[in-house]
Amino acid sequence: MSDEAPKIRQAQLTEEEGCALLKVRFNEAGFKIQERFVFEEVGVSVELDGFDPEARVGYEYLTTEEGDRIEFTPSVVASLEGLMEKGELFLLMIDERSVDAKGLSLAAERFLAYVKSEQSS
Amino acid sequence: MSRGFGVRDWLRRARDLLPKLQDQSDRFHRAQRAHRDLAERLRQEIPERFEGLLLDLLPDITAASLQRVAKVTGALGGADPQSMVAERRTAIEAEQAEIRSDVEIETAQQRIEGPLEDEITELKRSLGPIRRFLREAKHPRLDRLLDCDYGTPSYSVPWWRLSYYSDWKAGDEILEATGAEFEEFAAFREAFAGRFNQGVISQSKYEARVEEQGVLKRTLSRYRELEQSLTQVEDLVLLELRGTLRAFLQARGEGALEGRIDADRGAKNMALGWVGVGKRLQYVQELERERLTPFGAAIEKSLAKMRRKSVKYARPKKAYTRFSADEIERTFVDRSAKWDKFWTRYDAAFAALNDFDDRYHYGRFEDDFLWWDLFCDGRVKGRFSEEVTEFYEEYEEYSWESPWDDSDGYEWEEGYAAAAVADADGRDEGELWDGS
Repeated sequence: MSDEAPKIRQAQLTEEEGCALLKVRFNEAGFKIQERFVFEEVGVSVELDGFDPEARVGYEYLTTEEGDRIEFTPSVVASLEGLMEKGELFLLMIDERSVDAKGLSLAAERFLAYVKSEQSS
Repeated sequence: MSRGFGVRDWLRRARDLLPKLQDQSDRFHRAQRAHRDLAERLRQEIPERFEGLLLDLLPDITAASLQRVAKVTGALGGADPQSMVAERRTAIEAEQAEIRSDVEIETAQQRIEGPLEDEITELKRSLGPIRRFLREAKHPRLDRLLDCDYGTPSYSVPWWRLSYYSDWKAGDEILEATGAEFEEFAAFREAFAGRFNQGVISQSKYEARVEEQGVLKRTLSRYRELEQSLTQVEDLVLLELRGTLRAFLQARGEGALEGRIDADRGAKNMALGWVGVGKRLQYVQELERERLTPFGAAIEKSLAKMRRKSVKYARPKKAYTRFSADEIERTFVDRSAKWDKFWTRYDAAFAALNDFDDRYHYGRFEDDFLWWDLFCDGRVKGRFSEEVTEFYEEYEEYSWESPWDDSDGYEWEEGYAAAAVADADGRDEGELWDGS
């Protein structure tokens, strides 16, 4: 069997580039993203990479080039995900280190489509 | 010191000298080519003569031949060819029996070309689509999708995580790469598992059949080799004994033959041919290394220097350079006589080696015999060779006596006479070779 690896595009983004791309996509979808937004709810106080406090939609890099973000402990993530399960918060969590522009853009598009359908229902 | 010569004088003399240096350079290159051609010819002749000697010494494995070898060389004294033949035959037959206990020889060829080939062809055919499918489905994220139950109800990655979308994208890419055979990843998962297992099994079967066919082919080939060997046991023993004799003579050289071989004129002549060609090659290599190469290097150096300086003094800024008579004399001293003397000696030495006809049988194995004198009939001093020089020192009273007379019809080149004249001037030969 052939061991030849398939040719895929692997232009990896840095966290800074990824945040810039997400901000553009989220703003294009009508959200007003604020960078480094301090989110304080349900006993959690964290700085989010990008967040629209009015729509409660945003994004956050859980994993950076240097490793996992210290303040995003399992209990903090669990608290945030609790809000998302209830439809009270919509945060795209970047939990992978290898992210390319095409994949991230497509993920944002699909996430935002899901958010829109949730918010309109 | 007077500075009586100008650049124009210098350049005029350089124009006279350059063609002469170029002639010497061309002659050197021609001589070098001829030298190397001769060396190559002799290099090829040595093994040919050696094999001829071995064939002459041991034409067969009869007791008489072996006795002769033992007497002439001291080798193979204890050899018992008949026992060797019997031992080889027994060993061959034992290996044949062992092969027959594993393989049915009579039907092996039929199995290789029939059932095995058919099975291999069929397995290869069935593996084709599986290999293609697995190749198409190959994706960097495939293992993860299979591990995290993507496409099944057990898949638990929440929709707000990037990995959820990365899985989704990878799943789509895999479905697309497999030719839209599956609408859902669940269907792909099921097919992939089945075809992967089938592929592993078929591949394993295929490899086993190919291996079996290969082993069978090699075994059959070996069995046929053994059958052939059985008809040639005597020849194989002869080759083995000749190999032993070859190694013996190569290890001991001509020393193994000295004295012993004298009584056997035919073998002695062949051995002298083998040793003599080796000596000729040795002298050819020494003559090039000790005489021709240093002369050529000096000529090339002078030629390059003269060209360089000619360019330098032709520049306008050097137009007013002055040279003393002494400088001019030193730079343009006439070396023609020295060069002619070099070539006279060199040509004579080279001709002795190049023109020597097949008279090796006049040689001897004893230490007080000088091969160089045989090659030149004692007419050229061979001081380029360390061996020859040492020989003259060791045997102070030595003088060469031709083993043949002129009635043998051996025609010497005129160059030998010229060389003899050159030697007679009493100068040290070495001082003529530096090309200065």
